[in-house]
Amino acid sequence: MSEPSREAVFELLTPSHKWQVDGASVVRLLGLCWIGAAAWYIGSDLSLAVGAGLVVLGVIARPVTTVAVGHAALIPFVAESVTTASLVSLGLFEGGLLLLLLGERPTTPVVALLTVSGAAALAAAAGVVLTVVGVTAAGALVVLLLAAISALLYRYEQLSVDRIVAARRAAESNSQERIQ
Amino acid sequence: MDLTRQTWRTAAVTIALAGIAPLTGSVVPIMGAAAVAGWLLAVQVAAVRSLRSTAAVATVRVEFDATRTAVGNPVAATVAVERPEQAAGTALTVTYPTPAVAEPIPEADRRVTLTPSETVGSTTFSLRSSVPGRLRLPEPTWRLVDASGSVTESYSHGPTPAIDVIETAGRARQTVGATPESPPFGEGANGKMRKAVGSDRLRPYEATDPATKIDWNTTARLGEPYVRETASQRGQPTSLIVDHRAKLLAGPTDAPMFESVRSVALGVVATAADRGDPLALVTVGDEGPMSAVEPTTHPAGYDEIRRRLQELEPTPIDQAAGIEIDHPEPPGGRDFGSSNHAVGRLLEAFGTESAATNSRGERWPLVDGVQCQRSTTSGSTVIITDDTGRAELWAAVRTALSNAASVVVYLTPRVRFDAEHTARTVRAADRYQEFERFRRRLDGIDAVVAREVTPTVDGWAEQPDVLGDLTLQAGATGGEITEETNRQPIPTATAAASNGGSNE
Repeated sequence: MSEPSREAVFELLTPSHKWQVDGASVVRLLGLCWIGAAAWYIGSDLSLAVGAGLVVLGVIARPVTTVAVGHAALIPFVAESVTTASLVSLGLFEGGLLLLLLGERPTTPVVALLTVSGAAALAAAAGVVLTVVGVTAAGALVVLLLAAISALLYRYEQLSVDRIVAARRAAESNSQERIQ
Repeated sequence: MDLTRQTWRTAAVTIALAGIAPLTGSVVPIMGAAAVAGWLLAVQVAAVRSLRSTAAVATVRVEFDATRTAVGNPVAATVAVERPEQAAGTALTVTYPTPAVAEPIPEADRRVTLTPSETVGSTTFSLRSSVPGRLRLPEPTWRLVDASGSVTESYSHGPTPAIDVIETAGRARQTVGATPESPPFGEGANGKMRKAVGSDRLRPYEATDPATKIDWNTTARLGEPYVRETASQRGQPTSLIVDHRAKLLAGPTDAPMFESVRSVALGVVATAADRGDPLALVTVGDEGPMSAVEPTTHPAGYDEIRRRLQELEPTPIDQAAGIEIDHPEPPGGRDFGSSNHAVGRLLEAFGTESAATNSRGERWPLVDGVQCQRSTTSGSTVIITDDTGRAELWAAVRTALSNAASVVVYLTPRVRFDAEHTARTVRAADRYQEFERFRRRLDGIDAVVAREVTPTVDGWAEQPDVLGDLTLQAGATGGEITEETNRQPIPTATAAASNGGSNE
């Protein structure tokens, strides 16, 4: 039997931005390398500046923070006109940022799959609304979908754990009665 | 399920990105918001899965290192938490709350924490109670955190094992002005704790007594040599008369007044067994004496008495209500032990042929019980009951004294088990003062010691001790009390009454 830890749970759960020798750090490192390579490949001053900044930020901050900042930093790439070159640049950086996001712990196949599919679904829904209504509605849709699905998950988890605990209580009281 | 601060921060990032999009007119922040939101949802889905699996299969076990303990003595409780590897994706903390009647235990000692991937863990802590009765551990609190630290879940579930805490020494508010001839039970005016069972006696030293029998404390106090004799030395048995009538069902359903009675009775048995004192048992139900154990000094005999006490239940209220006072039903289901023994024969005779009654013809089962034991034993008598039938108890004590060398009465004040007590009413205060006056009157009889049995209810000690206030008030008029260490600081009676709100 292992020695019990006496620390609080939250102290035991290290924030995801800590580097460790594990799969998550490898994925994260790959994402940063991808971003650095994309910046070098595009070769413009802007891309080099953005790439360098994201790599530095990615080393010291949580991947999800780096992804958020990265998307804000990528706005100038398609700010004035949408060209093939700008879309390629954006796509290259997006690949790196997505890889970096998958490096956020817990890095499991299930979470990775759900992240990619969820992000794709949300982006697709936002794209549809963007073309029909506008950018404000698209942004609002993403936030609303996040809130609605989270609320559903919250309720589902609450009910299911309550049912599990109630079922275990009933089973234990039944076995106790049998013993008596 | 609760979201952690980290999750709220991530959600805020998503909202910020979605908010930047209209300001810049760019679609790129929306892509970022979608990516972060997708990750957040994925993490929540994974968290729900892991929390459910942990809640379904993780188990907690509690073991005590003893089956019972004495008041004030520690008992070690070992808490072990276990889960299979497939449910080890969460961090979990299982914390047992400190029972209300137990002494405080540091939370770190009561907590078992498993990090993600850990499957077993345990902790051991000491429980110590200064209140006799069943010391039950409350349900443990579980706190689960998913592997990413995004979501937490808390619930209460788990075994609530109990251990018997038995009384071994007098703790009640106790005799004032006991004489050397009185049985020196419980706590005297000098504040020292003495033995609880009513079987010691002091007498002046005689020339033929060995010097080793001299009780030096008493000798020093009284200025002349005294000898302490236990019941076993005198060869006189102690008769334990335990009331288990329906009226003792008063109080919380999970720990009625009878549990206090049982606890004290078990304590008496434990002390008698430790000292090898001869002990007999008579239990008194609504129909009169219900069972008896002959005087014994054999370990198996003590175990038998213990077993009877542990299995003893108060008379069900419906049966008690159905008894005709003038024409009692023939006793059924009684256990008087061996019918060829004097005690068994006498009890059977009392149970079937006669019944002590008062002047109005009401039956007094307690007096029946005392008469039964009085006919067969001549040592000390210990009566454990409540204070509702005062005339009956008075008669029972007088009856016991006609033969017994000494009588110890353990009285459970009914008022402390009534709702009025928790409501902190003035009426409850009055009733307690009445009880205290009655106890003192009993205690004032030569060779009688009357002691209060405090409630042993789990959680009862959480109630503000308004009655303690009133005892203090009584103390101001000359009474002497002993405060128990686990009680809350007591305000003045006036303050307690004014805070009560619903006082009559």
